[in-house]
Amino acid sequence: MAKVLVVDDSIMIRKLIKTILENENHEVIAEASNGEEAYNLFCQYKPDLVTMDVSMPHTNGIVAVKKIINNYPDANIIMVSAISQRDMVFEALESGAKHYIIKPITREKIISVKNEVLCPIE
Amino acid sequence: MKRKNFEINDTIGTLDLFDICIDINRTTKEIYSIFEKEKNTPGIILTNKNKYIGLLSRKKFYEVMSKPFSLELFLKRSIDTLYQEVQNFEELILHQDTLISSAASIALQRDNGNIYDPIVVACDDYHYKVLDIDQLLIAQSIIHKKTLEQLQKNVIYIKNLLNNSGQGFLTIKNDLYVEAQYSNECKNIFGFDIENHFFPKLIYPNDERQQHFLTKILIKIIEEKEKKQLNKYLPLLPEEISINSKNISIEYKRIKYHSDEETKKYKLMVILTDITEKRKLENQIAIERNQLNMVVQVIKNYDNFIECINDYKNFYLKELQKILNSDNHLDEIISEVFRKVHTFKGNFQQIEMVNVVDFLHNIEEELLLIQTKNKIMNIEEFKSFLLNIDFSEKLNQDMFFINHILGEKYITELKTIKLKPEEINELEKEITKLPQNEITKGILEKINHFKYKNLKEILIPYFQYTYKLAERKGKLIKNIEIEGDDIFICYDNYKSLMKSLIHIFRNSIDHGIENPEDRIKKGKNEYGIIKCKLKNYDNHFSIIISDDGSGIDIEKIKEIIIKKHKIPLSEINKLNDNDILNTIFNNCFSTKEEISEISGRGIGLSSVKSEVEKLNGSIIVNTIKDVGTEFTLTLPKNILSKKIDDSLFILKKIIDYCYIFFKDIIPSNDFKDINIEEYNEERLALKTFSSFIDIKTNSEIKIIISIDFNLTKYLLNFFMQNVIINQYEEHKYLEDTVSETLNTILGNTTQSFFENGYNIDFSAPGINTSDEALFKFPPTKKWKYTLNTNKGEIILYSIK
Repeated sequence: MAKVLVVDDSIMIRKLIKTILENENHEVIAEASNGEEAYNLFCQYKPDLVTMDVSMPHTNGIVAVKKIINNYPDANIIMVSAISQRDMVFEALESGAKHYIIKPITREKIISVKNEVLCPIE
Repeated sequence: MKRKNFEINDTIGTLDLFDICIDINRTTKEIYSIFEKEKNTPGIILTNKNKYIGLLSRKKFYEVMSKPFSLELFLKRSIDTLYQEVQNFEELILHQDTLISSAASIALQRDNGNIYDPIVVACDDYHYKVLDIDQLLIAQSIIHKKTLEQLQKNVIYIKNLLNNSGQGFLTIKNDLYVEAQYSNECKNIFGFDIENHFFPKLIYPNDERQQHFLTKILIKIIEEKEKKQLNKYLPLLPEEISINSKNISIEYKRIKYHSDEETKKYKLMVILTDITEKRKLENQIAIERNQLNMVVQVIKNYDNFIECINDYKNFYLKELQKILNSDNHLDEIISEVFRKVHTFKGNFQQIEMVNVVDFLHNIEEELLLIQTKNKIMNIEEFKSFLLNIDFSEKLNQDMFFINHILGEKYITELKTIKLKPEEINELEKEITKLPQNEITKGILEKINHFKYKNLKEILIPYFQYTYKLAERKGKLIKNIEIEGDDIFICYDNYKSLMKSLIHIFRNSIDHGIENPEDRIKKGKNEYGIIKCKLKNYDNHFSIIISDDGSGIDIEKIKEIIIKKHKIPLSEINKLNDNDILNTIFNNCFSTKEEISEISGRGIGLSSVKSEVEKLNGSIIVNTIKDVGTEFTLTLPKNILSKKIDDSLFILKKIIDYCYIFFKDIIPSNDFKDINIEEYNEERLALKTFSSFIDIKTNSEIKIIISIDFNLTKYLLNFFMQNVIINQYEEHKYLEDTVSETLNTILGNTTQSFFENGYNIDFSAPGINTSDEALFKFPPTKKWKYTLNTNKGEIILYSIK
């Protein structure tokens, strides 16, 4: 069971991710709706996994990833993005995000990416 | 005979082998005589009681024999003795099934001292033969040559295969420069030799940001050691790009090019496929739809269309020269051209001549660059820039299509529309060929407008009737004059009214135009005059039918009212003349006491009035005794021509996708009417949940999507599938649903905006919740679109 921080400015997307993860017996310990909040909550909870929306108001996902990785290089962050933001996703990966999900979000995508990040089979 | 021909798979067993064995108990002299006799024999197999012992090569034999006293020493002794002497030498034994090429390669790996020694070939049943190294090498060299030729052939074959596959194959190493070997199609795609070109720049020639991104990710992919990481990055590469206005799909395959496991090196094979045709086919339906739309618009806005074309031609043929040659400052000239181009763009947009609109849009962009000094030009350069533009090309393209559908005559006969029923049917058929949806349904509806007729043509048959009637009634009339504007109406919509007009003409003959004798007595020409005048306004038109007859006798009307309706004269005198006159439109009114065969039934004018009212029109009568009567019918044009501006254009694109979006979500739905209407209220009526997005194009447009509670709830359930939502939170989710819906719709519409040359910038969506709220907006241009589904209602507004 992993502790997860879900970051998205859309409550609907947060709820969707949360439900999928909870059905997999993970615990969503906190939710954030912008990058700044995400960083603060990360410091507070040190979650095992973060799902991070790329574009959010105030501080976007890339900035948040950089900030988190800077202080916690081992953080497991999964980006959530639309396909039109390939370059942003790439930047996030380069900045230390572990993986990404291209919208629309499906249960299968979330589970496969989560497994790849949390239980890598060598 | 020695063989000259060898195949790649030949074995050494097939070569000429020397089959000479000798028992080692025999004397050396016997060997000596064999070697002396058989000069070619490279060696002899030594056996002992038929068992293989070894090889005695000619070279070794003579080496030993050439030593002093050897002849004397060995010749008479057994071979065994001699063999003891040369045993330090180890012969190479190969099975007869060994391939010539492998045998040669093994033979040549021997020490320098015995590299040319013959080879022992072990045949089946323990029999051994000798193979001359020279022969092996000759065979090998022939095979080698053959192999090379075959390889060459294979390379050419593969190259041909790639060149004719119609796909572009190219490879890049981690420097991202295209390597020398690439298939011909690459040249077709890029339009030039791409060897040593920087790949990211080939893909995104004008977009540095994307070049930068592509460079980084490609290097990452080529150098990545872990397969898992590779699979992560590969999907981020662009899958489809546009090069030289071709749609190219791209696939990537990483291939190893260094076989050494320690220093694994990769390059990327890129496979480019021109899918323009495929996309074209996909777009064909859309284009046809647009073109048909254009034709419909041309017919609807016929006057505008002709005016627009003529103005435009005048502009690029004459006016442009004048503007360019004026004494004005360059900035002013640019501004004026810009204004003109912009106006034409708007005008052509109105009639949806998309090709011309796109073309003018591009010119506008260029002018903008020049105007903002992003492109510096002097007056001469500017002149040659503009004069080198072919303003007519796109117009001709659109005109070609219009002509194709409507026939050449349509455009050349500027005054009247002549569209044969067959032509309308053909158009109708073309549209029914398209996949049927709300839009094609809309077009089919619009086809009714193709049944537009010039009002004059509609009225003329009534004249013939009137002449005959006059003749029967013993009255003389001149040819009926018809004057005024050419007005095109959809006859179907006005059919009943037009038919009722017969009553007005009858009235003129029956009650208006006097007998010739009476006319002469009154000092009038014996021929009566009936006139028909048509007036065209923006949204309505008038038909004025007048005669120079006796006029309507007000006193007589009063009498009839008294008689028929038993109303006292005192009451009637309270009414003014107009009120009294208007009673002629009442049911059962007739000024003739005797019921005349034709018009005396008193229903004539009332039926005209009721037809006029059905169409939301009005009818007025004016009469002066002995001068004449005039009926003025004012009628709305059923189909209002609307100005099409950016906000409508964008709304239309959004609607296109919106339709697809909801169709997906509510598949069972039978969509009720789709209509875009100009919305003139200051207040916008909103549904429960509304989301706003500002779109920046040339101007700023606000798009509002407003969805009622039930449909929002349905959408939320659809998005979230089985997720149960806490009742207290539901509201926030519903709001989110609406903004995500707007986001999705806009996100998916972006592509078509770009295709239409729009630079779109979206804001983040704003949200409003209220029950059936009214929002007040300044009186700007607004468009409203309503989509009714069986799950609820969606309204889209576009506000400029």
